[in-house]
Amino acid sequence: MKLRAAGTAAVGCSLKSEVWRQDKVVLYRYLPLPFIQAARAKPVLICFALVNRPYVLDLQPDRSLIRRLLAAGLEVYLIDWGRPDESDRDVGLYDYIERYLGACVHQVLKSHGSKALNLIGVCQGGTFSLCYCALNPQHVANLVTMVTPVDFQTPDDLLSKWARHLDMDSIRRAGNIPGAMLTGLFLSLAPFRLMHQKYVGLLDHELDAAEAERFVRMEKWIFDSPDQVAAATAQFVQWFYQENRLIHGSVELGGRRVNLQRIRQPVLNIYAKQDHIVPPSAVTALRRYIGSRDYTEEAVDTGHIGLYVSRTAQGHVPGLIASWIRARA
Amino acid sequence: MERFGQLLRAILIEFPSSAGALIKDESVGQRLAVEFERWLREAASMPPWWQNLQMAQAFVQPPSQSGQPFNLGTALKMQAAPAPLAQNDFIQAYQRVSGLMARWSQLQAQLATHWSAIARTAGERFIARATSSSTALDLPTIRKLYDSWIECAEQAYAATVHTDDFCRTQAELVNVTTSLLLEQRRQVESFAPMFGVVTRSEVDALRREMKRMQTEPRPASGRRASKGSRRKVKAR
Repeated sequence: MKLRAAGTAAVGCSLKSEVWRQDKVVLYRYLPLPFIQAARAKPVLICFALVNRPYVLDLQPDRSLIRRLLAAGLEVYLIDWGRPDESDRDVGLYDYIERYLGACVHQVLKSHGSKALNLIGVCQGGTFSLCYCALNPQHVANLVTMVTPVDFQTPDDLLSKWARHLDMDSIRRAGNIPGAMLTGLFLSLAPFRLMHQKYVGLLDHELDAAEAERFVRMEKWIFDSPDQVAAATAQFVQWFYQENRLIHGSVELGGRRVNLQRIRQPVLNIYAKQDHIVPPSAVTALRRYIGSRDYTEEAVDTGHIGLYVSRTAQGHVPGLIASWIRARA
Repeated sequence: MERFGQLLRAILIEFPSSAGALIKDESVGQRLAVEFERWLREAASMPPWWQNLQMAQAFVQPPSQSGQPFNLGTALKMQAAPAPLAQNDFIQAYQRVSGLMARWSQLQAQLATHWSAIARTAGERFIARATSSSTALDLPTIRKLYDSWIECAEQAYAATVHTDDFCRTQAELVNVTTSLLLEQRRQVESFAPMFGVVTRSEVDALRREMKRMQTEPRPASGRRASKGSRRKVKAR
């Protein structure tokens, strides 16, 4: 009954305004919280993954990375990649990283009359951020990566093993990949925990209305994967999972090579110890490939999604990011 | 968990003894493994996107076959007999799809052996781990057993799905499924013009052309010419 009542729970809680739009991509600026003094720091741009919707970063007031960054006085912008359809099937990684992410960076810089910003990349968005930063280091003052895969072929990476023998050329020709299929893929990494035990766990204790709403919001988010653009997905799987190009320095975007050694700005790399999607070994490889001397690594005792919304992460991660950025203003 | 509890209760009626002794019984382990394998098969059943791939076969029945349910091949045959070349195309397409479907079935069978192995291993682990001494199957006991069961299942699953054999089989299954989807599209592409329907490749070509026109800068003289022509239209 309580779950049914929570069915209408809205997702996303902080006020935001659209500041730029191109094709399906929208750049949002979050409005500052009242009575919060602005921090002396460059604006923050968050680049989320293509595979899920970014509102998980602002799920509800007590589970919102964005709200906590706002509470720390930071100016926060978020890229929403939108919901691609078949008219976007030829959009490639160059478009996502150099055209869309690049345009969002320029838009934020123009608004603030600044030469560089703080870039936060999450999961696949972190990989995009690394590529962007390596190609355009002058625009990124500080880089924060969260659960970001760097070495795509570590022995414990199940996604990588499953992707290794896929014929991506055929898959690209078949068109966009349905979001439901992607959800199924992620659930099948640990199917009994994620498709059975999680729901049984609801019976363990009496759910109050707030908890029921939080559960429903998470379920909405998990099953709300947008369709994946054929060209970009094929490139991502082939270049990163199958050929591990990022660490070999052979990713090429618009005729330019992505060399991680060119990342010399401060880097904060946050990962989840129990991540079943991006294993810690895939994330911590970053330290071996970047050129930065100011490199901080932070492990949080949670899972991949827990890093965005768990109570443990909420009490620690936003504060860590905010203080790390302020210290490098 | 409800299913898990029902299963345990059914077994308890069948073999009345304490729960702790019960789950040490090998026959109980076998029953659990069978049930578990059924769960696995359900979980591994085709997602909706792939289900309609089975239509691919229906689309490409050769027109020579009679008494088949409605498909495009028969529809075309009724409308006007296709040229001999088109009939050859049908037969070739049918052979391609049949080959792919046969491979698809083989791969499903290979995956099924993995599901069986996972179920068996999970059952063995579960029995080896069972330590309950409770005399009754009350809810807390069932819950503990259930959690242990899930843990065993995940461990057995992980041990299998990381293997090279599983990864290759699963990837090939996806590749064959994609080939079937592409074959289905190819058939639709060849039939669509006969019905005056626009094809996917025509829409794609149009979209690419529109995108090119949107992104290419217009020549300055072109703008002037269009202004002029607008004036002419007004004058008329």
